[in-house]
Amino acid sequence: MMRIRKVSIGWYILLLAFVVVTLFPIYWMLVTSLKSFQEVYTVVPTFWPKKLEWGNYLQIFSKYDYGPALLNSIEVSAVVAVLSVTVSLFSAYSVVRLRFPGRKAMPQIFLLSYLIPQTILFIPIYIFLSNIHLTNVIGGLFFIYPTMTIPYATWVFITHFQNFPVELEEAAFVDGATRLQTIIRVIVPPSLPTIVSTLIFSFTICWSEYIYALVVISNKGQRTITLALSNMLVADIIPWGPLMAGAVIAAVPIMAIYMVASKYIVGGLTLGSVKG
Amino acid sequence: MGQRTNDKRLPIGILIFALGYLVLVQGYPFVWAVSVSLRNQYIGGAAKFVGLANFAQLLSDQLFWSSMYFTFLYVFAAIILKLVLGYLMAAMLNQPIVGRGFFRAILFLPWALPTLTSVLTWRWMLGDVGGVVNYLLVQMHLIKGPIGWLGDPTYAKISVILVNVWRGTPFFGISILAALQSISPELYEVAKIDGANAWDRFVHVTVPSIFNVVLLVTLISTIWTLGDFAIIWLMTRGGPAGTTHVFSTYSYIVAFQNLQLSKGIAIALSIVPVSILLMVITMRYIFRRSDAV
Amino acid sequence: MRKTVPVMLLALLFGVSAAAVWAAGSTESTSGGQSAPLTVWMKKGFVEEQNTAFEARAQEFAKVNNLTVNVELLAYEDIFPKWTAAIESRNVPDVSFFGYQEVGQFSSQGVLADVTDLLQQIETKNGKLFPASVDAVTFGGKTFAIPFWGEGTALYYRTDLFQQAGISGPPKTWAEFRDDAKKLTDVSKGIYGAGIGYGDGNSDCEWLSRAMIWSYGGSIFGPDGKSIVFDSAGTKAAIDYVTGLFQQDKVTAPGALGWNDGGNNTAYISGQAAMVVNTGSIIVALRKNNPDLLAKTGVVLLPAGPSGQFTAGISNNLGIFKDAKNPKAAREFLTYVLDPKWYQQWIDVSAPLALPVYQTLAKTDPVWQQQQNKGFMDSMATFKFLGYQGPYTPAAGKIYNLRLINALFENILSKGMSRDAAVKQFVDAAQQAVNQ
Repeated sequence: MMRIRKVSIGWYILLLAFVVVTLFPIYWMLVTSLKSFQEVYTVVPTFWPKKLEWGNYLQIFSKYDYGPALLNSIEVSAVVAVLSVTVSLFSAYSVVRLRFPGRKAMPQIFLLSYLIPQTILFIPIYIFLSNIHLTNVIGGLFFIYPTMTIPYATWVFITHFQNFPVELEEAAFVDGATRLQTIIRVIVPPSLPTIVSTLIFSFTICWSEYIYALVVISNKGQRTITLALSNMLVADIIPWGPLMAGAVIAAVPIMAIYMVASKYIVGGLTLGSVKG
Repeated sequence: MGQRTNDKRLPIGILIFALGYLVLVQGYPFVWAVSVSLRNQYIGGAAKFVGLANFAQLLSDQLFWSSMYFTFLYVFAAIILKLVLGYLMAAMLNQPIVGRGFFRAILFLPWALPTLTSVLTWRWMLGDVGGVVNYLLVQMHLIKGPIGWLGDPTYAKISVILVNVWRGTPFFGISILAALQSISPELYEVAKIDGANAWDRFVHVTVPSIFNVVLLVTLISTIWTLGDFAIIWLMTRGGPAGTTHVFSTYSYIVAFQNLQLSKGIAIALSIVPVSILLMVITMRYIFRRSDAV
Repeated sequence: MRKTVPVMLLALLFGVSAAAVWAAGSTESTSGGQSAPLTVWMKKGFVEEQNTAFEARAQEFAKVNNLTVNVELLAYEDIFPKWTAAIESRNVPDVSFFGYQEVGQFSSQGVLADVTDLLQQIETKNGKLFPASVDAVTFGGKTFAIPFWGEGTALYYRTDLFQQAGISGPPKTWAEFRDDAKKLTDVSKGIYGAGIGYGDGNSDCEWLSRAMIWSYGGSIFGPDGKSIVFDSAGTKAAIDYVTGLFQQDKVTAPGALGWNDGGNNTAYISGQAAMVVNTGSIIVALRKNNPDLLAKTGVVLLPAGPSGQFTAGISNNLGIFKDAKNPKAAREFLTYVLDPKWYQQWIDVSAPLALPVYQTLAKTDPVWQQQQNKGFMDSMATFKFLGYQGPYTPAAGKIYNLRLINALFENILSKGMSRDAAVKQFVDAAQQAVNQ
């Protein structure tokens, strides 16, 4: 009993260290978001605002159109995440479980998407979108964002399925289930931690994407949050208050999704269903 | 038996759909980029085929070599730190800590927040006026006077690596955590019954189970970090005096501000052989071990 | 039967998403207006009222001409990738903001329309624009954009600190600047006389260093615009002056090496620096957020060097793409926004940040005679641009984009390189930029 408690305290100390380093900048964003303009510009930093400047939060919505931007980002990120994960799940399953010619080469082609940096890739992608008339609308993003998420998600599922015992599926087949039923009933539930974390990562990849959104979207009302934020940097004087308010607000949907998803990330492989 | 072979169609169909989509949307850009790099095109201008002249020119470009040097240093340092810290984070969150779900959400934030605001905040924290990092370090008597985090070449390099690690560790941490949680506890019990101690259990149960995931996450993060742009651009814009330039920032200036599109793309493509090499090596590992399944 | 239902559901899922994508795509419709809509990209300004006034003017234009006008207000850094994507896909806006450098670069690639005649019409009707600004966007006798507003840089100084230190007035020469900075520096209070800093993300220092070098008789380019004449006595004197401020006099802030564009503003607004050189953005910000400090702020022309007084000019223009879908409306739009009556109230809104391009306005408009605005306005008459002593060339733009001047000073101040070695490295890199 004593040995277990010693290990636990060590972990708690580590947790404290992680939390402090991770959260300090975020605490700084929060504190800055509530400071007045002049208080931000002091040589010696203050650790709590002298007066809480809630106006910054109002300003980011009224002056900087943050509301529509949040909705746009949530919509694009959610739809792309769900689509990508669905497609990737099936693709990875095929690669790992099924035998067909070229099954090893195909997923490697997926990763070609990551070879060229987006800072170059955006030009030909924009030319492509131009030719199919999907520029200047947020629909263009639905079309190209999956190129960022599908390769990653597919490969995560490939490694996941490699560790997944075949016996579970075989048992289902013996019971007369179709492959689709098998996938849905036998594979998905124990894979939920991986599925949910992949969904969250795909969401955040879209959530913080900047350059594709920048060139594709021209309508003020269709901006995503990354564009709304960069649009605030207009001169050599940064509006720190509203900008930090934007950062804090951007954290809220993520935290919410994570808290909700937490339920599904607990636990792992079905315990005790397969022996040996 | 007949039902089983028919069943293949849906998943394989989706795979081919995904493949087709990616080839369609990414294939053209890839071909475009390679063909432009073989010409002498300026943005908006007509272009002539010049073969590998752009790449040859880079060989004598001092800024190109220093960008290459720092790109590799940056990636090497950042990946190792993220891997180690990520594993620690995963192992820690795998423990039955009180409020685990809450901490998991919090520790995820650096990755999820918009890069622009995070990087600008770090820039300010490491700056001089209102620079809280120097302030605290001096107050805690860890340093004598303020450090030029962004003005000194060595410290600037440390600063950008630091921000990349701060931002990227959750990617490793949460991915490895998912893998850790997929390990059946029975495997540990069997090992304990066989007389294995904590270290043996780590080496013989944990590592093999998460090896592929760790390898994959490392590969993907490496490729992403190789192309990292925003952190360096917003922190130092490649400075001081170009000492923190990486491929992506240097190619950005050449291509979009100097309008030398072909040269800029040539710079960006120089990284591709490295990425391909990493991919090929990693794939071999991942598939070799899976054939046993 | 049991197989087909889930398959159909999946097909439905993909079908619905595809439909959603196409539906989203088709919301891009042109409502109202007979001819093609006019697309305008404009640089978003610091003063929100100025932005909304511009949009309002565009909508007036739309109504008068029975057109649809789409105005996009973009932050400067955001525009570069958009220009590239637009030009390469030939899906360009009709009218766009351009800095004079971009006019030089894009016109040399042939993507901008020749507006020489349009400029002549405007000047005949409304009065002459500042010649230097017109020259900056004129190449081979043809003008490729209409100057729309300038941004001057001036010397800000703390009148209260000057009084305390017993200095009678702001410095008129760099030598006086140095003396004043020494008197104003009080390390115990954390106040530094010279708010000058360097950093790759700092374009302020690129402008200021050029102005200083020019004022000492040095320059990067010779009058032919091609030869690099940087290695000269004047240049070296200027370099010694700046490094002296940092190393011998120690009148610069401790973190000044590593500033970005916000560095000197932050230094001034926080009280760390007693003097800074900047555009009018600080005045505008103080007016709204810190009138106390504004009351203690004086503005004056940049100090002069032995060879005279120079300001590195910033000139912003409106141009028309050759591939514009609606060139006629584009030209009429430019005329519309350069109408002096509307223009005057638009430009005055953000004084002293945006400077008027009409010479008479500068003299007659009372707004520009006010103390804190006058210094900026006066600087416009001493504008010199990248490429001095020659005309603007893309090579000059490359040298600026690569921050080679900044690298020169950082090499000396951060890396301890000798002045002559740093000059040689600069000349080599600049020559490479010219040759390639």
